[in-house]
Amino acid sequence: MNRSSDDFEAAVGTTLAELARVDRSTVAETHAFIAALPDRHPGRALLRWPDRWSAGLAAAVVGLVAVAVVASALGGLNNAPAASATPSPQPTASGEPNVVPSSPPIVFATASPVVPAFNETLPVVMTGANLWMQGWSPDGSSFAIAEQPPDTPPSTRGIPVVHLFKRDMTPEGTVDASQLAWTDATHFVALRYESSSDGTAGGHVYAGRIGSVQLTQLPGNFQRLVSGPSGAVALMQWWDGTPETPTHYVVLSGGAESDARDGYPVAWSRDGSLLAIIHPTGPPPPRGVGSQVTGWIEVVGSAGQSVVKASSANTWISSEMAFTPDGSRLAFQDDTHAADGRDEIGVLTVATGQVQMLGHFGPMTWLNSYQLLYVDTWSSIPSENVKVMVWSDTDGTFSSYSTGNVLTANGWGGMVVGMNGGDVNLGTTGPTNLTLVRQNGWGIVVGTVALGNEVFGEIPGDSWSPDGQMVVLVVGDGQSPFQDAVLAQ
Amino acid sequence: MEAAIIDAAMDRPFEGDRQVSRELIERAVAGDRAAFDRLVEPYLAVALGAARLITGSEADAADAVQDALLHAWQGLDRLRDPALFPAWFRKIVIRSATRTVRGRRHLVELDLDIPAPPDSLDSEVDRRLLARAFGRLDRKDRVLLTLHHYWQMPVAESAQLLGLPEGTVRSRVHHALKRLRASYDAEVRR
Repeated sequence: MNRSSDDFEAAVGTTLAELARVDRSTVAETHAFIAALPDRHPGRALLRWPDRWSAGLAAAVVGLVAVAVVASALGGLNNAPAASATPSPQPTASGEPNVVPSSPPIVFATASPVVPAFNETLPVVMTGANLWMQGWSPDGSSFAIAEQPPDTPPSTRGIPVVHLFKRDMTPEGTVDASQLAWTDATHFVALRYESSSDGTAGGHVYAGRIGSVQLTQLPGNFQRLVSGPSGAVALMQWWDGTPETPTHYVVLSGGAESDARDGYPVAWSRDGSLLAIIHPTGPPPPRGVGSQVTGWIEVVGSAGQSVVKASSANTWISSEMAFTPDGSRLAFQDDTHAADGRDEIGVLTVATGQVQMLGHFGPMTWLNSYQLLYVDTWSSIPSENVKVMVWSDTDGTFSSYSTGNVLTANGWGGMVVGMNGGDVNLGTTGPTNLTLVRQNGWGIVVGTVALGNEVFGEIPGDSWSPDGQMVVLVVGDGQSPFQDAVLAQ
Repeated sequence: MEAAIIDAAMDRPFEGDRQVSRELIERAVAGDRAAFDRLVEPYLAVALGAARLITGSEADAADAVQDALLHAWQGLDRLRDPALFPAWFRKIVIRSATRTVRGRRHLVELDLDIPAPPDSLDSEVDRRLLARAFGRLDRKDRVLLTLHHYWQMPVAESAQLLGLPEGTVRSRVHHALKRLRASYDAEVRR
């Protein structure tokens, strides 16, 4: 049964087209339905727009007026576009560093109360459209959440807005960017996709600081940021997505870029001393969206020196990888048997280069440095996709850990597990984590948090604060474009 | 940190989208049902098809699309840019179809009316078995494959629709395809 990926994907497209056929009478009924639609009610909104938007808009207008007044008084920002209330850098065609005077971030001095999209019991950081977590500063004093405003052209770059918050949920400002990574407690870099003067798309990275109105463009054309909890950041250079084209990245250190290094960066160790990269080898990506360039894995040091090469460990470029908290092992999603439709979780021991295949597959996270949790999804039966398993590196055993299809852990015993569509259990197994843990000891589920709706999208690892005390969850229902970002602790 | 991955080849306007007339939208906003019909006509058949793939039945698909049409009709005045209408309508349709099957815990058996292949060829994919395998996927996988392998939706658009980074969408589609393949192989072995 040797079917090429292209053959199979072509058959999928053809089969779905055949399955999707509907009778002409159904189309006719639909037209009849349109003809019988009730009268429109101008101004009536079926989709619920949280009051925050109107209140927030008012606050923004007030903020803009305030900014304009301040700018006018200072005399240096008179040309700032009225609609740009956030740092809004302009790239230079030469790619040289470009210090951009910009209007200051919106200061939420009179922050309007957040009106959640759902009935939340946890503190709501913000309510907005299409939210996703962008990580915490290394010292845990601040965090960032990106938002894609609704009803905007999805292909437009630069539209996402990253909201910055203090640990106590006080807003600190916003940055127009698709990605943001913290380099220390107050400094960050932000990636914006912008068109160059010749019309070609590109990604530009800007360095910024909390409280500053200036963003400094870093030289180069970049595609993505890869950041770690320590503040280590790798900038992936623009790549055409083909294995024939070399991949390069640079590492930020002290605000400066390293020389370009070979590889596709994926994940940092917690202390920033190790970086997992992929060396793309092929195959050439077929036409399907799900087709991925694959390659072998290498772990390098922060200075770029090779630590271990695992040529037998194959994965694809958007796969998940995760170092253990102590950096001794790297879990990855193996692609070796992709032709058979089988994926496996692999674990690379950094010190020896040994690769162990687990024979199971699913979203994964390290509970600690020797226990790997994963959602066992190796089933096409939906009702079976609810098992959280644990693999122990010490004795190689597998055991059932919990029930759920939502999973995240901070590596220090704190974890979130549960069934999407209902309550999420906030549990722990370690003494170094939540305050409640110290009161209740090891392995005890210390509380259940009720969310206003499902966990929306996923819970990335960087949702956890560096000290493991807090986790930001995005709650949504998949119907409304709005979600709540809530803080669990 | 999950990252948005940009594939320049994917970063293009949706080829299936036609230029949407502002006049049509304005007339529809004013309550002209015929104008609204003309507005949605280019997208109706494919919307019904996508809804059928997600819900598993033609009747449910019709219900889902009618629900979407009602939402679009009543929310049309909030659409600021006519060029956004196709993506906006697609989003409403997908959400409506997903809502229709929401809460279903059982598998949905698709109505299979695909003709049998002329010969049983080992080298070819049996589309009837593939259809059955698709019917055994869970809702999320069906939605993903419908968006990308039937509707040919750009990654950026589905990422926004699903609330996921683009790289994650690619990875999820990758896995959905693999699960479909595994499900298909299981059907073949039966």
